Amino acid sequence: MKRLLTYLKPHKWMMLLASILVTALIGVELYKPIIIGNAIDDYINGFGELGTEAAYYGILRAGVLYALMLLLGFLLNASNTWILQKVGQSIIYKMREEVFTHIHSLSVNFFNTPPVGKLVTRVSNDTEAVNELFSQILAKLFKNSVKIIGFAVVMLSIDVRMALYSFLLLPFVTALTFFFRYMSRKAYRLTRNRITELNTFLSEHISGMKLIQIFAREKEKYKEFEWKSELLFKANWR
Amino acid sequence: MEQLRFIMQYIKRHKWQYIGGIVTLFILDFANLYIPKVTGIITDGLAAHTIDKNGVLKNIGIILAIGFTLAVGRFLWRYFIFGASRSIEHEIRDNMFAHLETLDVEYYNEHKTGDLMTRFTSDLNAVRMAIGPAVIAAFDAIVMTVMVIGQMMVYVNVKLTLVAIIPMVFIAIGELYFGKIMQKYFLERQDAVSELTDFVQESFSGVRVVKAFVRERSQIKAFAEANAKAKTKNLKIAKLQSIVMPLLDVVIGISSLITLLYGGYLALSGEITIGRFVAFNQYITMLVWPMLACGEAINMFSQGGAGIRRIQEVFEEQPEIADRADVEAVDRIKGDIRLNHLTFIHRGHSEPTLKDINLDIKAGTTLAVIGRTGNGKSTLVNLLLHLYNTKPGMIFIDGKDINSIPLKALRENIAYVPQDNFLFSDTLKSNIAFGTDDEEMEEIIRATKIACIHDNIIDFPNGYDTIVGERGVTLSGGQKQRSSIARALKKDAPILILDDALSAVDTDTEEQILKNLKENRCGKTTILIAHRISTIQNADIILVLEDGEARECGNHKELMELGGIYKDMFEKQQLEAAKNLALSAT
Repeated sequence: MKRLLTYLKPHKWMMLLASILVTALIGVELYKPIIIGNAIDDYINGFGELGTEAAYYGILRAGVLYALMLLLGFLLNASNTWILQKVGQSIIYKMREEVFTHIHSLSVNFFNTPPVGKLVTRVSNDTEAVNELFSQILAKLFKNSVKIIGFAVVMLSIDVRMALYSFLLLPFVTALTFFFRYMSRKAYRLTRNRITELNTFLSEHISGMKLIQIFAREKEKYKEFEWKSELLFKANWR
Repeated sequence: MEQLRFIMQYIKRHKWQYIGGIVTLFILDFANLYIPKVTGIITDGLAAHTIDKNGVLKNIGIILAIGFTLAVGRFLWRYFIFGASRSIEHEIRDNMFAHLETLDVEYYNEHKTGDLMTRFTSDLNAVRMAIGPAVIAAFDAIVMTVMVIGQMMVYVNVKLTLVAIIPMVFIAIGELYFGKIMQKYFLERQDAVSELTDFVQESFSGVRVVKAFVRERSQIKAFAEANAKAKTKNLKIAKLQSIVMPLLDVVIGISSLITLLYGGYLALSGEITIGRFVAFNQYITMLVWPMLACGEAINMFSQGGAGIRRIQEVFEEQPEIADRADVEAVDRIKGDIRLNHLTFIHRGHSEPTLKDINLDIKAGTTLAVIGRTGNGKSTLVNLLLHLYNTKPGMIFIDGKDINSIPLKALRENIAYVPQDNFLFSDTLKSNIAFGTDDEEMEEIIRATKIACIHDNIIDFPNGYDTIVGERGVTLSGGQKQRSSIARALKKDAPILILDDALSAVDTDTEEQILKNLKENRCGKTTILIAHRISTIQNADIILVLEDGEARECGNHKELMELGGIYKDMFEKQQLEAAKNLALSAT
């Protein structure tokens, strides 16, 4: 986690900007239903006092405001997504470069122990997973926590006691979430290991395919592959 | 469409799982709609004081029961559809590997390992997403949309519904349009990533060379380029996504806007009640999620389509080398080899690599092939192994045309030591027993003793159980070469081919191995390919290849008397050896 922060550091202003954009975006998202709600209350419900024409004029005004909010929301959302993606991509670029340079700077002996397939996975696939973390998961985390706070505020403003009662459920939900996360992380790690094993096997055997064919070992090697493939399949089931 | 046909053959096999999953999905969506109804009953009942405490508890019980059904149902459809998609992924993976095993050397010359690897990793993953999560998202979205729109039309107003869902049609059109562009971009990205993987693979595999020639800097520079390309392609996708996804929200917003304006008008003119107008607004928001799911599903489908295309490319490749229909079962080969006007042109070349070679060797002969690099020596061996196709009537083994001998039988009867000494990351024992079905220690030791590697192996802490690194890196070049010779000898085949397989072995060991071979290979055919005349001068027949032609042929004595290329080579090598000796003496 600390490492991730060091990668984020050069982009701190961009991240700050993204946070502001997200907050503004949530504001817009929350405001949109209010416009319609107000229009209903003020004009559709209350048209008796205003007269049909005036009421419809009010609806039109609300419509214009709503359209403006739509446009604003679009701009905020688009620029926010773009910024996060750009930061995420810059980070994996940097990470890949550093991992690659670092591995190359190691002594030849290092290459004797972990198979090349494993190292290749580190450079290409694992960095991609980090990218996902940045551009998708962190973004969602931020958006959702702001949303949760928003919901809590709204709930509290409706009825403090009822809101507190429903909050009683939260510790259970959190505990359950952590439990599942622990379980899924264990399963995930097993799966990743199986994937790496299979990839290592593949890269070695595709490079050595000529030898397999010359020694007429296709059947035996296929069985080995099938077994590894089966292991991965089973790991995915957990 | 072709992609669809390809994937359907797999999906058909799991159709019951898919049907089960989709039926569960339908049930779930209905159950989902039921919960608001029950809360409605409670609310109305409480408001009208027609419901007592027991009634409330009963209805809460119903809600809990529905909740339980939802939980079980969600597990079930995951079980059905995710399970089916995992099974299909598993099947495609196995089939693809099996197919790769049938493809010939030429194919592997043209396709890099890293590129083939991405078809097993990211492409296959994209396919799985398209036939698993995307199917669920799509069906869920469609069912929800149909039910909600149905409600809107029946409960509120047909005209308003039709007007309000016009923007939704644009979503479908937009998805089709952007989906296509997206697919193109994803293909480009997959290519860029696979290029990157390739580069890393090669760079790490060849790390010794890189270091020996101090090429780290240029490697890093080249990597930066590949890396930047992957980034650019990723950003191209990101740019499109950051416009399209928010645009979806806008389109949905326009629906709300229409509802406000037209629905407000209808409400003002009394055509619909205010309550229904409010409900309609809620329905519109209920459409948001299915539309988003639809977008996501389309994305996954397009990525899956791109993945299938690249996987299909592998399957479409037909093996050039395969048993002909008229092969005859062969059990044991004796070892007679006859080349009859053998001419061979490599695919894509205009000049033949081998020209009109005639040779007749009886079982038990030791044949040596000598000549400068690129003169067709290895090609000759590859032809004997039937790694390339020859025209009928050019190569005969035991008097039978090589094309009429089953591949497996042919290769089981030829033991081969390759130039590059590829060893698998496995124990030495398994590596040496690679070509045979048993790991009989006695046989293995017999082979390693002939190859002069037994003493080295028992010196290792783990002996024969020593694991060899991915490319046999814990062994020295000479050790690898000798292990590779032992691997071939373990087969005890009637034909043994050593393709320049003594180059990394010192001259004393070489002499010892040659002596061992002579004793052991008595009565069996041995083919030696070498650069050093010292390796081959005791062979029964020496073939001198130059520009793909058999220039000279005979034993050492005959060729020396001939006074041609062979004699020239011999003298040059003698001179070289004398020079080296003199150098080391001083």
